[in-house]
Amino acid sequence: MSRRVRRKGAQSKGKERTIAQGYSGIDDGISSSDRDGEVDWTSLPDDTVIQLFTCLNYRDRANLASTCRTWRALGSSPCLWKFLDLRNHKCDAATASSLASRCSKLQKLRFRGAEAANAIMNLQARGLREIHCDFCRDITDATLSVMAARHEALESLQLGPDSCERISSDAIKAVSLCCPKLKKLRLSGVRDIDGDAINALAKNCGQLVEIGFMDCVNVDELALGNLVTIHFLSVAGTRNIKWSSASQIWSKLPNLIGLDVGRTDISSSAVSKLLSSSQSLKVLSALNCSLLEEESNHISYNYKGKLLLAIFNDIFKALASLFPDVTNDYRNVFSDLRNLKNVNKNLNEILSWLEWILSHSLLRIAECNPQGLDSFWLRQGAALFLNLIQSLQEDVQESAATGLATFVVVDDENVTVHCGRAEVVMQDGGIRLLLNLAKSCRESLQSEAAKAIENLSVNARVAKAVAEEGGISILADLARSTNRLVAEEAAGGLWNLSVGDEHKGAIAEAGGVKALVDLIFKWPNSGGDGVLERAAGALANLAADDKCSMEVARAGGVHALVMLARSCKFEGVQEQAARALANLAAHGDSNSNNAAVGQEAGAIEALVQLTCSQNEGVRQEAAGALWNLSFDDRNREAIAAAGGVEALVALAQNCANAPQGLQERAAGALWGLSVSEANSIAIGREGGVSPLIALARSDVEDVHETAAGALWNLAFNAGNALHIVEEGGVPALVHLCSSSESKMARFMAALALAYMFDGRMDEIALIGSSSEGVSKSVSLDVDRRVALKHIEAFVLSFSDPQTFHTAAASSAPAALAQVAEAAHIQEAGHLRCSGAEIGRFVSMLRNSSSILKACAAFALLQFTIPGGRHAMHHAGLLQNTGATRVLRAAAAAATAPIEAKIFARIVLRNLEHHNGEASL
Amino acid sequence: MASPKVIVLRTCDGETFEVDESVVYVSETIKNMIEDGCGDGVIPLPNVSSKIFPKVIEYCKKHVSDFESLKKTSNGDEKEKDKDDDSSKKGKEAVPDVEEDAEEKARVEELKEWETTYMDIDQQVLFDLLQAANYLNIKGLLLMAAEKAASMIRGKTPEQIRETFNIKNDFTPEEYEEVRRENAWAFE
Repeated sequence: MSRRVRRKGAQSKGKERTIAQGYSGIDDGISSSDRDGEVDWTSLPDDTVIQLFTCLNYRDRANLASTCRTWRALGSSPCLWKFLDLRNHKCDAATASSLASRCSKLQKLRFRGAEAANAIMNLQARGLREIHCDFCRDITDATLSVMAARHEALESLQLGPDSCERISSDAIKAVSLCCPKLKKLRLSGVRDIDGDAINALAKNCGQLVEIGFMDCVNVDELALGNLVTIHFLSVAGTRNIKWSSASQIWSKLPNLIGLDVGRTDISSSAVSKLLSSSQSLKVLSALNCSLLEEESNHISYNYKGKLLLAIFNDIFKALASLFPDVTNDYRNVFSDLRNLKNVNKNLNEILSWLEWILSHSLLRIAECNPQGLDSFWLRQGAALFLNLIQSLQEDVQESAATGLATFVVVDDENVTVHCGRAEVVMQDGGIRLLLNLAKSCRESLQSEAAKAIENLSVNARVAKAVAEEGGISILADLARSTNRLVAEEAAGGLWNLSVGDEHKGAIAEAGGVKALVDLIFKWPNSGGDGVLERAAGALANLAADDKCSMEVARAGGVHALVMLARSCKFEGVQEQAARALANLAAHGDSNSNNAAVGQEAGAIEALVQLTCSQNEGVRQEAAGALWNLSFDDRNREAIAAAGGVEALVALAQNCANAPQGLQERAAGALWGLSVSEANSIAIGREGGVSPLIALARSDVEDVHETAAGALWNLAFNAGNALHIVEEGGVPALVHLCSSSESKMARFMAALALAYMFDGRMDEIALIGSSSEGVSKSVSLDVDRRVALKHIEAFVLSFSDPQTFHTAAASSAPAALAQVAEAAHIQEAGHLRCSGAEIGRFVSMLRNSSSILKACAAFALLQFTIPGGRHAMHHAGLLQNTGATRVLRAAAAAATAPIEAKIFARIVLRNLEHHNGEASL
Repeated sequence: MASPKVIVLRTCDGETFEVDESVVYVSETIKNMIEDGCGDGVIPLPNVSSKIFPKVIEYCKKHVSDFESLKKTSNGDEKEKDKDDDSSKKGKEAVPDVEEDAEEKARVEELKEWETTYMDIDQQVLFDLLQAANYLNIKGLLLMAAEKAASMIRGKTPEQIRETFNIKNDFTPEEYEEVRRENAWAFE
């Protein structure tokens, strides 16, 4: 059983061997024996090794630096430590201290959260010029003040985009006092920025060029007029601004070039004032300002050379007019500008600022997803994002990629992706751009790009484009990432791509299956459920394909998924793991995964447990898995031994109002179990009959068909048959038999009724007190008559008198073939009967009721028809029990109805056919 | 076209190679030497062996033709634009645009494939290639080779990296403890 398990063990124990294998896997042509000794990799030139370090992320750099003295020293080279992004790492005081010796030349730092903010002074990076912090909710005035005091060379300070709820004007004053070189200050969500703080900035920071006070509650707009040095100001999303005075004062700022007032309640008169009075202003960005949009018909995008960027204007055209002679096609304005060498410094500065405010604003707008912006997104929003992900500024790239991932999802709850938005991204070449981004070696970009690809791929056409652009192997690579966030989004992408049959093979080919299975082993108890749910979901889709399901098993997927089903506490993960196991076990005929799942220790017990979950989805998938597993005889008995009968009966009893998927699987699992008579008796004893009858009454074809199958199996046992009668099952089955749209449901209902009324039930029905016995037998008689009438009608519905008479009159095989073809129920070929069941039909051929005779012959015809999956098996059973004689008698009997005779002849013909096959 | 000038180069093991000037210009180092007037004699390459040099030349040849074809198309475009007046340009450009796009796509595909085959090399060759690219100052080649080496490092533990590159662990236990501490942050 544990071939896979053992192999995994070998990997972790016998390190040396696996390494050697991995190594020759990378380089096929290595002739290691004669050359290994010759090359001394530590003798590579220093700058080559440093180049090598720059290709790696922090984890791999750390590993490389831990190999030997030479590379440790090179890994500490200051040029590798100019920029540090700690967002994906836990950063406390001890961490920061351990980095200090390498951070003496550090210039730029990104991190997240208050703990890191308190710790970074331990880096002792006194030369630090840029600080950018996310998740700043808990950062206090004290923390920010210390941060400023320890980094006097600071030129750029950015806290956001989430709110700095605990920051007040005091800290801003402290920053102004400590950091005289400050050029750029961006703060989000500060409650109150008063005049004192702003005046302190004006007084102490003479080089201040850019201010961003975004999403704040109160900002002293008059004091902002004292910041005479600034070129750029953003108050996007900030409330309570008095626009009449603000426009008055700000239009006098002598150096103001760019102003962002997006997502505010600015009026058109204030906009006009700014555009008409300011001498220096070049760009006014006012995206998503509701008041302005209502009055928009008065304002064009270009007012005497000053641009207004708004949702109702053509933003590309506006930008192109700002940078004349740059481009013919203004949609390329960003890339043209970036490619231009020796652009003057001012234009560069404007471009950088514009990219930043646009990416920031568009992301915020996408997050709020306001109504009425559909046409904006389609006409220019998507194209703007795609331009921005090509920016040279990393945080712009990231915001734009996050924006792409966000704006396509219009309903978070149900993950509804807007079809038009997804496709416009694809049409504008966005897939290739995102895939390129995903290939970058920066993990934060990888994860955002992968997330965008993941969300966009919900759309099938986009998924196809992703596959065509080589996205599958890129995602498979990312799924191997040591960064959980990256791996999670990549697994999500593979999940969406694995929907449908188109890309499953390609995912397996790219090694995606192995990567997904490894993910489960890598983070079995990860803090979040995201990565496991996505990996299991993708594996579930993949396992639906026969070949891929083999691959999943080979990669150790059975063990991994059973592990999740057994021990993961997240319902989403349980659901996907159970679904994956169900799909793995669905290929009973073509591979051995069904047996393999059952043999994995604890698998069946876990699935039985999951059928009792609080969560409907989990119950459904677990029941589905047990249904599929029950096709294997040993699994079936193991399920029963693990308490499956009780659990599944309970499930069926409680699924009256459940979704049809759950109803179908509950009935299906009971059907599967009831293949053995012992189980079927147990099901009856546990009270399974009545819920199955209820499900047989369902209008949904899949549900009542499955329930009919289960009842058919149950009815084989006389005790259950009586139960079915007593619980009112006859009318339900009669109804199915006569009016279901599904031929299979009608067939199995008829067979259930035939079992119930072929006489065996009467023997036990009459045991009991005599008075009761009489009334019982009277009511039984009524049921019997109704049942037989409908069985007859059912059988007759497959027989056309004309062809029957022709067949009766002639012995030509063609006439029989015609009848057989008309009577054949395709799906019945999947049913497999035991010897006892076949024997029962054979004895029914001698039943005194001519209707049951015809029904039995009809059933045997279905079970032996050439091409049926189990036809050979059934033919063998018939021959072994000497049924040929009985069939001949039935075919020749003078008193039997014509249907019985003809059907019996067809069965004989079928047997001859199989005989011929067998002797070949 | 005038016949291209041929440069003679001698590798460290004494073998000489004759290569078109345009091809060796891909190497900044050789280009500088030629511009400094060494182009008429034999240029010595003391850090490059005759074993690896043909591989380097293969890269240069591939990329010199890329540079040249790029130059050609962009020149041609400009000329066309000069001739055409604005009104007729739009109609004409629409068609070649699509073709160019497809052509560009095919070219990128082809180059990718070439790179994959080119980089299908053993460790000895990779090592020599890194050294040669560094000495000859061929940025693209250095990046490609470093990326290849990086792909052999990613996801491996220090011990696995040592195995891969046959590196001796020369840390004392105390040192190694220190190394472990200073790198712990990257794994959290």
